[in-house]
Amino acid sequence: MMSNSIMENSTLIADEVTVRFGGLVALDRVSLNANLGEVHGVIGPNGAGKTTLFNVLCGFVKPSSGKLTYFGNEVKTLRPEQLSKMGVSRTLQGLGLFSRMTVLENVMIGGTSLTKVGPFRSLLGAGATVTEEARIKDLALSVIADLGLSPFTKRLPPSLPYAIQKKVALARALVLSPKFILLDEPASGLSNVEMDELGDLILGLSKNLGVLLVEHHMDLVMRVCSTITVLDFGRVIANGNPSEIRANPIVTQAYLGEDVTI
Amino acid sequence: MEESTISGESNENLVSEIPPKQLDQAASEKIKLPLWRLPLIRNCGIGIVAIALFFVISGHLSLYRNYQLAEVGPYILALLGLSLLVGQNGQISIGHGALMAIGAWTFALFQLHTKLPLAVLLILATLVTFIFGSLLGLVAARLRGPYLAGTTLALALGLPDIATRYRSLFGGYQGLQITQPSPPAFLGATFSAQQYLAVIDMICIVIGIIIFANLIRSKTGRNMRAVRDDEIASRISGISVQKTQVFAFAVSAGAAGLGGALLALVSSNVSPGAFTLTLSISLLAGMVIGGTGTIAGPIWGAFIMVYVPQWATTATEKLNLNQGIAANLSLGLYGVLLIVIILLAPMGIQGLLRSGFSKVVLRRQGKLSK
Ligand SMILES: Nc1ncnc2c1ncn2[C@@H]1O[C@H](COP(=O)(O)OP(=O)(O)OP(=O)(O)O)[C@@H](O)[C@H]1O
Ligand SMILES: [Mg+2]
Repeated sequence: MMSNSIMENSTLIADEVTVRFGGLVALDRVSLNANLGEVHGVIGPNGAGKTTLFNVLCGFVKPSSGKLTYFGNEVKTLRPEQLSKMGVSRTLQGLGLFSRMTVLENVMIGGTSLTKVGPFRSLLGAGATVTEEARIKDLALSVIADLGLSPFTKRLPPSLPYAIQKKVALARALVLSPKFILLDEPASGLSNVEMDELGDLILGLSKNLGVLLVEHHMDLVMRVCSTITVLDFGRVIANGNPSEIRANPIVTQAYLGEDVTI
Repeated sequence: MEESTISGESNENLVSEIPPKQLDQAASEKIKLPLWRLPLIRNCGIGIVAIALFFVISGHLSLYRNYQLAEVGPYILALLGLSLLVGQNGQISIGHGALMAIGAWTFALFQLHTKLPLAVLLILATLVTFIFGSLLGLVAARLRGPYLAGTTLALALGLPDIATRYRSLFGGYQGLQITQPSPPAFLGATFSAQQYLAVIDMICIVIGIIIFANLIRSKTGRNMRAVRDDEIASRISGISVQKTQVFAFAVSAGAAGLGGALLALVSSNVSPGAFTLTLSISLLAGMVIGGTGTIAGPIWGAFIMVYVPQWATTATEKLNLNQGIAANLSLGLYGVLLIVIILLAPMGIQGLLRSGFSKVVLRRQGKLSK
């Protein structure tokens, strides 16, 4: 049981979440507590259940048991399309960009839940569609500018370098000024320089919002996270700050045989 | 050209803090648009000018030319619908011929049993097909790729049979007769029925194009494209995939229904023979040839759908072959033409025109070496 004061400060609480895929227990009573203004890392060997945890937090996977609390409210049934309305965004493992839409359009999609112009008003071309579009476009352009993506506004994602595409995905998640953001392996495929840059970016972001970060690159995780939860075979095997995690023999044990230095 | 910006860009890009974006609701409400920039007003303006222009032009055309134009209209509308569904939303339908049939029979039945004016009949045909389309869309939203194709194919195959099974209501093989409206008196005695049909077509097409353009330029259209490209990414961005797909299907069906009603009107008859699987498939061909997902594509596609088979038939008739060979030859000729067009213009005619146009512009600006 968690005390009330923790509940109030917490952006996100996962309480004893269990997920079964047939006989496989992908998550076994996983609890996690992520706060505003901090970067919370989730690490673990391949197949540990990190993405599954994200999928539960986004409503893609329904847990067999356990409780989710966002911003102090318990969320009983969660559908992914409701997330952005609660002020939560997510990036996907890989890219997940809209490949036949321009960078600007991709980023504007992130602002979908900010306007309430319905399909019938769009169809008739009511005045609100123009003002709302202009508003979303301005927002998207300013996030694009913040991330240094302005030269690519009109380009299609597949024609851009991977690192730029990763940034577009991030920009899309930032348009709605989320209160909380889930990043699934944002550094995969990036060079060391780009990864450092990403680290700065994440640290900058975390001043205003909560970040939950799944990442295999330990340097990055150790640098930006204030709390780290370690998963192995669906269980939380450790939880603590970077130096505690680094010193924890159970964690080193879990990573045995993996090409990772903690 | 773009390469230099990429490498130069990474240095100045150490963004350490991103201020949260403030949603200035009050400011956005203060944005006052000049009247002509309101899409509703601007589109009505452009639409009225287009219809008036066509009105004048059609007055100088022969009865036969007007009738020929009126024949193309229904397909333009059906293709607009199909193109929205496939090009913008990434769904597939091999059943749009059947949706046209629903519009056609709705029009015929209401005309037969009520005294409603033409405009209301056309609106009813559109609405009924829209509603049917949203039900079909609910099914479609659960199906993907080949399963959706199969389901809509079944619709195309099965629906015309209903007309023959319930003969007393739907008229059987002969179908139902449609009374063509005579032009209202104020247009003058010289105003032909054919010209009237062509103008009615034109009005419907203009409305259809305006709606299509409004949609693809709006949030709704963007959401449709997002769902087309990646459903998971759409969902995490707050888009309801199901709602988007159902709406796209419904609007698409509504357009096909209006097209069907116009087809019934122009041919003054609705019968199962006009709405076979062949129609559904040639709609798909017309869509691809015209340019999927574009505004002008359906216009080119519809002209090809109507005229190329006619030209092929006339061409083979000139050869004095026996009937069986002539029929097959014209079909073959049509097929060859389609293949040639697709080879020359994989993005459809509209795609060809567009790339041609941008080449001209680039050359003007001296950006393209000769
Ligand atoms: N939809 C599913 N159905 C069945 N099993 C699944 C499903 N999704 C994940 N799993 C299994 O659950 C376990 C956890 O997978 P998950 O993708 O969460 O791991 P991960 O920690 O993200 O791994 P990686 O580091 O490779 O991304 C794996 O054994 C995986 O095979
Ligand atoms: Mg994963």
